[in-house]
Formats: sequence, structure tokens, C-alpha cells
Amino acid sequence: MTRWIKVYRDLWINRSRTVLIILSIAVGVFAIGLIGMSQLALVESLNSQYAAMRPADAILQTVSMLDKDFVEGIRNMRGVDEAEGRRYLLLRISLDGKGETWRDLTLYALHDYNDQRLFLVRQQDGIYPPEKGQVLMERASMVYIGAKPGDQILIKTPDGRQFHLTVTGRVHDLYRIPPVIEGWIYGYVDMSTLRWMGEAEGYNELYVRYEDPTQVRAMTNKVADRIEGIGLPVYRKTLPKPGEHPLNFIIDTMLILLGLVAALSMFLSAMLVINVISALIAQQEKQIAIMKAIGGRSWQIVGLYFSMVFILGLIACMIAIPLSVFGADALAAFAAEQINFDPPKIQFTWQALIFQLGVGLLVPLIAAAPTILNGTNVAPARVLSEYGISQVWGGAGILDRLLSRFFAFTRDTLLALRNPFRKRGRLILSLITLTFAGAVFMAIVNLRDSLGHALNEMFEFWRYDA
Amino acid sequence: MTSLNASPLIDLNGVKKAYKTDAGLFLALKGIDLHVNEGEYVAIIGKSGSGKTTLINMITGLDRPTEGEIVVGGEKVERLGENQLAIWRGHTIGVVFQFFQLLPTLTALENVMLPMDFCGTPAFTERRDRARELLRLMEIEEQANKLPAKLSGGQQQRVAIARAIATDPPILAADEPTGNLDSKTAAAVFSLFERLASLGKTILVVTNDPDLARRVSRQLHIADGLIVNDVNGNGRKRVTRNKS
Repeated sequence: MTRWIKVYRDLWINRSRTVLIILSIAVGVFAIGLIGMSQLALVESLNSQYAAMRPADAILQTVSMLDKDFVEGIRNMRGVDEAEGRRYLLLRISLDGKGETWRDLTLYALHDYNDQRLFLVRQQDGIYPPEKGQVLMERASMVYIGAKPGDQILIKTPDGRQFHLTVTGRVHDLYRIPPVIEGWIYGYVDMSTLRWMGEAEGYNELYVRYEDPTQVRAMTNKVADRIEGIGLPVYRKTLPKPGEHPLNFIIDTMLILLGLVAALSMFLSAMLVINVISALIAQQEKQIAIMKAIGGRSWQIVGLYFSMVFILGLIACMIAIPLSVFGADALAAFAAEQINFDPPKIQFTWQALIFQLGVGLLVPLIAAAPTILNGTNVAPARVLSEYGISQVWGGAGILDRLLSRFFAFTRDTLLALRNPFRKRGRLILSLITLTFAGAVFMAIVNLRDSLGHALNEMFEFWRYDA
Repeated sequence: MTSLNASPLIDLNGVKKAYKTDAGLFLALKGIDLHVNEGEYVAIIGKSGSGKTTLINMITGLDRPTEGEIVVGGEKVERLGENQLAIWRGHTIGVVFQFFQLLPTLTALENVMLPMDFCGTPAFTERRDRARELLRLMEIEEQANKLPAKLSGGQQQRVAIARAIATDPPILAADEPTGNLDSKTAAAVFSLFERLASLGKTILVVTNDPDLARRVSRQLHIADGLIVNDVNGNGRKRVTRNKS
């Protein structure tokens, strides 16, 4: 019991050191939990939401002359599971509403909003389906242009005709890349608006889903042949990756980068634990010898220091694990907003808890193990004896000889220079930690600056002002 | 108190200890033969560097001989492993150091309880009472809840002595226990040793102070790693047994 009081007091008396290690481990555990939980939730949620919108296996773009009968014909083709035609218009939208600033806008016209087959566009709020002269904005685009229901937007066709449409609400089209990433704005109208604008009502985009996912390419060629068979060109065939949202790679990239930072942070925590524990054990070498001298067995003393690290890890986990749930929730919400899907609910699982506890407890224990085992393996007589033959430090050898050449150094300067080299192992460890942390920091800052510089050079090359 | 016919409690035969130094091999003990019987109060006297601390470290098992045999309480000390040594030391021999060596984050009472905790004796419920009793015996009970930093040198050494006898070992070995104390406090510490000797403990005390050394039942004079003189408390010379 008494030895546990020692553990407690050692931790309490050196509060700043204790807090430093706890925070250091906690950062690693937090980061790993945050990444693990958000990755699980984001991937699962994006996949399920993407599947729920019934993505097509192929998108074929042609001139706006396909009609309902043609689409029905494709639907009835052997091997085709579902097909739907839509009309899209590439327009410009004035962000200021006065025609001074223009951005790209794709306006989709659906024949029947209540009979969508593929790439389902879900109603969010407002008048649904839109009526003549009304537009539903994709929800990410709505935020991007800062419009509200009831606002009028000014749009311009390629031949310069301008129209005002009334925003009546929002829809969610998961397949469309949000304007914060791509800069493209999406709106949804019905066919009567097209007529009002004097545009053709035929579909120019065909979505097709096949019965056999392995035959996508062959079947798409057949569908393209059908289109070309009626004398229309096929401008583009897009084959989305089955079951994978087009922006899945962004989540993967983001999580891989954050995962690397988490692993680096855990690595640095481990290095810090080694450093602090080795400093602690060096400081307590005499106490270890005393404990041995008064009957403490090696495992009892080793147990004290392992318990110390275990307690630090446990406190770190107690702080980091609940925070990582909130963090994962926030990160997942942020990522979902960027990709434009509904934020997933973070599920706190036993697996996640065990993994975080494993990392938070085992990594520091494993990191500190060699230091503890070596440090507690002291011979009491060597440490306690004051006659001290073995206590004399032999000098740094080469360093001493080098320093002796600099006559300008005072004794205290020489002492200060020699001191760090007394414990070379600890010196190397400190240097590795500092170098690594510095390298990570500099790499991130350099990367940011390099990217900025590269972009500036690129813009300089293109030389445009607007 | 001394049983002449029984086997000695401490028995050293041809004990040598060599240290490797940058200057070469240094022989700290050059073949010591020593027999100490139960209940003896022995002072080990010698100049600095004579080998007295090395000798006490051999007896307490804190260091290992390069050559020779050490039997303490019937146990061949040099053959014990680290853990066995710790267990053996906890039950057989209490150690007192010149610089007290109390654990700074534990109170006086907790310092005394620590060996009991390590050795698992006495029973958990009795430890606190025993520690208080020992501090009372050392006339320092009122300081029980103070950290070592709040105690004077003499008080710390009393706590250290109480800690050394916490598990009731038959032998108490003290390495210059008064070397860091003023003469009055040193005399008080020796009085405590006398009291413990009267209670049947075998006591080995390393000292430089000839006045204090006169208060013991036996004096061993060490010089250059050899016992050069072995006298009784009454000043009569004993047979000195060295192997060089």
C-alpha cells in the first residue's frame, strides 16, 4: 500500500510533468480515436447515402432530343435494370443579382420529380416540385450563393438571354460536387420553365443502371449504339465507380493525412514518455537503490514505475476518449458538409474503446519498458556508495579533446557544453524527438507555403484578373 | 549474549573485492575472514578508502564479492539472485546509510512502513501500529507525519533506523550513520544502537569516530582492504584472520 502512496505523490508533486505526459498521450489517443471513429462513420454513411440515391452505372450525354419513349426503350433492353433521362442546361448565374459577377450554373430539368428512377434528387424544403419560373437550389449551392427562399436569381443562357427565377427551396443531389470544391452551382426546374425559357424539352443526359455490374462497359456501348442509331451523337460516356461516391477519395485522403498526423502524434507522445520516464528514473536512481536495499524486489519496483505510466495512460484515455467522440462528431459533420451528405451519427463502439485504451495504455507502457527495465536494474551499491570509484565519469573523450582546443571557453561554459553529453542515450532521444517534431512542423508549414507559391506562380502565368 | 559454540551469524571467508577503474584494477578488499556472532555490537573503523563500506556492502548483499564466501544467517549471500537477495535482506538485515536515504515523497511513518510493504510482514493491519511503535522507540513519534525535508538530520537518521528494523531483522548494518550528524546527535544515535543491541540485535556500524567506536562490544580496524586489528570492547585483542 505504502509504495502506491509513493506513486501517487511522485505524480502529484511533479504535477506539471504529469500533466505534460497526460496531455501528450491524450493528444495521440484523441487523434487516433477521432480518425478511427470518423473514418468508420463517414465511409459507412457516405456509402449508404450514395447507395440510397440509386446511382447509375453509366451516364451518357447527347443532344437534347431524347424522349420518354426512347428512355422506355432503353429501360426494356435486355440487361438494363433502370434508365432515366434528364435535361441539363449549362448557364451562368449572377451572384450579385445585377449581372456584374457571373458563375457557372447547371440547371437540371426533370420530367417528373415524383417518379425519379436514378440519382434521386431529394426534397429538402420549399415548394416541391418547382413550378414555372421557379427553381430549387441544390442545398450546397444555396449556401454558396447565399440565397434564401423567395429570392430571385439572374441567369444567362450561352446566347446571352437573361431570366429571373424565383428560388422556392432546396433539394439534395448527393452526386453533384459541391461548389466549394468545384465552383459549379446546381439548380432544378421543371419542363414548363424550360418551355418558358424557349429551351428544347428533350433529354440530353441518360442515366442507366444494369443488371450485371460486370457488363457495364459492354452494355454502355450498346446503349450508346442505340443513341447513335437514331442519329444522335454521344458526347460523353461516364462510368461512375460502382458503389463509390465520386468524392470518396477526398475523405480517404483527408483521413489518411489525419491518420498520419495521429500516428506521428502518438509516436511523439511515446518519445516524450520515454524521455520523461528516463529522466524520472535517472532522478530516482537512488530511491530505486534504497527500495532494493530495504527489501524491494525487482518486480515490485518495476511494477511501481509501470503503474505510474499505466496511471498516466489511463488518465489520458479518460480525458481523450470522450473528447474523441465529440471530435469525431465534429470532424464527420465538417467532412459531410464539405462533400454535401448528411452528417453521420458517430457510434461509440466497444471496439473503438478497446482500441483507444490499447493505444493509450500499451504504447506508453511499451515505450517506457526498456527505460524502466534498464533503470530499475541498478546495483544498489553502485548508486548508494559514496566511496564512488564507479561514480567517476570518464569524460566525453573526443568531445573533451575538441573542447580543450577552444581556450576562450570559460570553465562554466565547458561544464554546460559537456553536461548534455553525460547521458548520451537521453541526449539522442531528445534530439530525435525534437528533430522529428520540428521536421513535422516544418513539413506542414513548407507544404502550405509551397502550395501557395505554386498557385501564385500559376496565376501569374495565366495572367487574368477576373 | 554471544554464543561461542553456535555457528556465527555472519561468516566471511577469504572475501576479496576488485573494481575496474580507468587506472586499472583496484582491490578494495584483499581477503577478509570475519565471524560475527548473534548479539554482537561491532564497529568497523578505518580511514576513508580503507574498504569498510565495501565490507558492509558485502555483508548486506548490496554488492557482490569478486572472490570468497559470505554466509549471513545461514544463507550463502553471494549465491542469491537479485530477488532472493531482496527477500533475504528484507527479513535478515536492516541497512542504515550515512545520508539517511529516506524517500522524499513519503512521510516518516510511511518510510518506516515501506519495507513492511515490500516484505509483506507484519500483517497489513499491524503495519501502521508497528511503524508508530518504532518511531516511539526512536523518540520521534511526533514527527511521524512529516516529510523528510521537514526533519533535521538527527531526526531523519532516527527514522532511517526505525525503517531498518521495521521488519524485525536480526542484523542491523549502518554505514557511517553519524558521519553527517553533529556530535551530540551522533551520540544519541549510538545510544539507540546500544538500546537495539540490548534488545538482542546484531549491529555492525561503520564509523570514523574513535570515541563512538569505544561504546561497542567489538572493534574491527580496517586498512587497505584488510582487517588489521580486532579488539573486544574491553580492549583485548581478538584473533585477526585475513587472507592476503
